[in-house]
Amino acid sequence: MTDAFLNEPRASDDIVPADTYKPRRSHKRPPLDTGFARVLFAEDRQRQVADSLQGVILKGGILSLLTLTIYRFWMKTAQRRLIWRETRLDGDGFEYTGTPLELLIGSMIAIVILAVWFGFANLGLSYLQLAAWQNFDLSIFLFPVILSPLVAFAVYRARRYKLLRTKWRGIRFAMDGSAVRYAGHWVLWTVVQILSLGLLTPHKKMALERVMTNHMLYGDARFQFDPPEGALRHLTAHWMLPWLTAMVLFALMLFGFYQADGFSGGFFASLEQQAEATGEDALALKLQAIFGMAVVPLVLVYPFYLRYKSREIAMVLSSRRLLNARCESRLTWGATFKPLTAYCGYWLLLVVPVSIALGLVMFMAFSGAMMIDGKDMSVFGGDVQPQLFDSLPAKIAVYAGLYFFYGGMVLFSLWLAGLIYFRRLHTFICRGTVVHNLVSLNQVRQRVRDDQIESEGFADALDIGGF
Amino acid sequence: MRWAGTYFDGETARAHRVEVEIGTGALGIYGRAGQMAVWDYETLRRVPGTSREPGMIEVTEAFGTDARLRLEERGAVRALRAAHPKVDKRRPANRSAVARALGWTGAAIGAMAFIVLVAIPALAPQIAAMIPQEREVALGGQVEDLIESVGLIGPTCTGAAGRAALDKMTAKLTDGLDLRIPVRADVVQADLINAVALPGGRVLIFEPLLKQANSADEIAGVLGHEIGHVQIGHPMEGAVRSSASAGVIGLFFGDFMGAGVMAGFAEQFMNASHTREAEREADTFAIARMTAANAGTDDMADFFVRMRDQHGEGGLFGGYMASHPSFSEREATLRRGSVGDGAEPVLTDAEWQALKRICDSAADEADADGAAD
Repeated sequence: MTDAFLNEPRASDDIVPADTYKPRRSHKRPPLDTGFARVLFAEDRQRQVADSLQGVILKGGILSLLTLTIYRFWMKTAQRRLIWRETRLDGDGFEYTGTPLELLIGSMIAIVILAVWFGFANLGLSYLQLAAWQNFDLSIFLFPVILSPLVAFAVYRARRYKLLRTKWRGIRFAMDGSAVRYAGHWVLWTVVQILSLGLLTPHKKMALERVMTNHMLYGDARFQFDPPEGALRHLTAHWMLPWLTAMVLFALMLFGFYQADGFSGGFFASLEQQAEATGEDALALKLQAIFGMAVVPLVLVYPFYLRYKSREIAMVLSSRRLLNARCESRLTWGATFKPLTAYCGYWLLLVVPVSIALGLVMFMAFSGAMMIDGKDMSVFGGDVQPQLFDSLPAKIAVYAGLYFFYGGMVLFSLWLAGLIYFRRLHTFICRGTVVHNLVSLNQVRQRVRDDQIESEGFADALDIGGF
Repeated sequence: MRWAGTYFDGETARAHRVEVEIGTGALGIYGRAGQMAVWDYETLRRVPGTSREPGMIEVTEAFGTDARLRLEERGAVRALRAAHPKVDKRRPANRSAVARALGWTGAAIGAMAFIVLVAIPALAPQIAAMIPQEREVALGGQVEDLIESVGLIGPTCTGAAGRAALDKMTAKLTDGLDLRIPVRADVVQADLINAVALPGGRVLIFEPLLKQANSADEIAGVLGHEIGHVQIGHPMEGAVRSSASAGVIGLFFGDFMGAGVMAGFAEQFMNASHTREAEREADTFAIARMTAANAGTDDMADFFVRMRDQHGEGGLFGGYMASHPSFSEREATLRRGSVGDGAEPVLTDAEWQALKRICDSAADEADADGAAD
């Protein structure tokens, strides 16, 4: 080997070759002086990584279905290991060091606590809703309200676990601070958000990210949340269109709700005639129609919400600073729009063939069961009920058929979410993000070993997915 | 021969370009300033979870240490595997972690079972008892509206003579009984053979049950069973129990997609034993009331025999999964309780015919009479 190899430059050596990074659009921010390092997800070998990911998802999904979902911890770990190592900053991949057993233990500890908590909270709630408040429907709103701070708590714990189990260049990430205090911030900001009728949603997002980022560590260096100038103005500008649309719709619905009885012109007149003809409730029909009409503007404004979302992700990333190194993310609209379009497109394309294929297998299982029992369709009157079969083999065939159909649909959803949606989203976010002054991280040193932690169990038990 | 590599010393975040010497018993790492480290093959392993593609390998001095070395030349990877075949050996399972995982899984299942099978069933009757009667009646009305809106039941039947027969039957069964809440029984149009007790003393007999019954005593047995549910307070207890256990079992299946279906299945499984117990209590109550009314329960036993012959015992796991005791078990219970030869029919034959026709409208009844003439 020659000296030339040992001296070959990389971004962290502070000698950066001219690069071709040119985002299509950008918000205003000062030009940056030194070079930058790229964050890339599997750019040079997209096909292979997609294939590996597909293998992990399908194998993990099937084994999870066969093990009462216990295998999900192994599946999640395999997925993370793959995504982490294929995400490279300045050419070096991240390393995920978490283990399935840690996830399992964390989840089980959370279940012990939550089962007791849920059980007694539910009992108290049933007393309140059935006896004290005389309103059964109230619980629909009350339970999420009681649960929501716990979700914020779980989100913080999940990020802490992931950071503590992530290495880059052999140095561990970490997170300190308290999940309970974060949940407190979340409650306060949610109150503010509600009082502002949602207008301050970007402020809430940035404030909560500030709390989390300021508690994040890489080795002995602490992250700082340092938003670019005018970040909130920029986000609010993008938030206005979806927010105003939602507000106008909400006002119209409210108006419609109280006034619908009096609507009798044009379209509503035809509804009244229909109600008279069929004996249905005219007011109910009108309210249904009002709800139906509200869907159209919501669908039309959704792409603008996605545009806001891409700006939000970019702004959160661009606010992260570590020593002198800082992220800069310039995500285009497509970063959030394209993955969702792909998801919907694949779903539309495949949902019918997949259902037919799975349905055929289920039909074969049912036919087999009917042959075993010597029954024909007339027994069931068109509605096949598994409990109507007599012999054990027939019952097993029927339940296997049902489970096969259900499991196939679950696998299809997992495949869509992991391979079609998330892989694209992650690719686009990485592609639109660079790190400036990476060289300053050369002075970061390893932290002393972190305490044993009980993983992100609350997030799993509370059904907060993601990677 | 020296190979190119990238070395991370585990102390600082600096990436070192190094040259690597793959020896017979150890691996030497050399930087610009000379030797940086020597790693013994005894402990040197591929980093768990890193890529196994042919042209790349990432190794560590020993499991649990932070330093990393990456080789990115095919020749180097091949040379390392040749010199040190055990490099891909996996980290041995952490026995204490496995033990802790098993322990906590047991604790989690235990906690859920305690809440769903012990704590909630023990407290549900207390809470059900605290609920005011008018609230219970209102809830029963909501449930009735709900099952009507999903098409399980149709309109209530109003034939006057049938109504009188049903009232007589109810009065006979509740005679001399201190009712917790007034019983309001009705026949409703429906597709299924069934009868239900709702909160608030509401009992609904599905019309097909009447149509296939051979005698009034069969229906009296069913009505006595449903009144048993009302008197013991099962519907209200059930409402409290199911709303309180909602979500507890779902925790176990976590965020795996479609976990809701599994949780629903598990919940049914865990609740089945309670419902079966309640059904047994109601059967016992029905026998006691039938005996008090000097009516026989043999007809109801025959009914269960007929159901078993037509539909089988039901359920994949038979007794474990079913919400009711098996038809055979219920038949046996009813045979034991029968008053025998001294029994009197609950209704006269005319009353029984009127009850059977309770859902025919007045015009239909007239038609039927006309046809008979």
